[in-house]
Amino acid sequence: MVDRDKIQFDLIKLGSGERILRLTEPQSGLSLEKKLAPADAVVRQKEKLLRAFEAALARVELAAA
Amino acid sequence: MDDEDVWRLNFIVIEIGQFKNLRLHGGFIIKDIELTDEPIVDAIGREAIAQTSGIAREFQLFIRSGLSEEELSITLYHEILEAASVALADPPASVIDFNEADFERAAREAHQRWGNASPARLNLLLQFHGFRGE
Repeated sequence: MVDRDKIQFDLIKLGSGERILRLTEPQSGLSLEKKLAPADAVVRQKEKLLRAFEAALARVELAAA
Repeated sequence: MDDEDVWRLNFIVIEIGQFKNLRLHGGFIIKDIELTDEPIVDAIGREAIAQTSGIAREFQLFIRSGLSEEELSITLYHEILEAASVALADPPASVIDFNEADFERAAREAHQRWGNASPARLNLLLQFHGFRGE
């Protein structure tokens, strides 16, 4: 199980004004990112991305076991 | 422009060093902050104006230099409020529904209300939006 406190987030503001949220697990280097929908709540988009990321990390751990 | 005007002009510039290793309300820490002349470009060539990275409550900010003082101030308010909201599993109710435009509006309002971003004013911003703790 991945410790949420160890997942790095990057909030990137592009020159175009768009916003990217990227999550990275530093040990494996695995990362997942999403262009944030401007009209939707950022916190909810982050929670959704985090759930998808945790599921992906769990699959990687399972495959490696 | 005489010498006094030049001095006054320099005096109002935001001193970025004051934000390094800064402990903020809510238990957040700005570990590092950098204004960079180099383009902030990611692995697939996208150029960014600002990037805030965080692990738990520790943040690192990269901001393109060349912003006006007002733009830099608003960027600092925006980056810290949004990063604090993203960092917590259970952020305050006042920011839960914020979209990108809401964070920008809150940052602009903070700049209008309190002036240029400073350590004390970043704390005010976090308190104002309901962040609790040291």
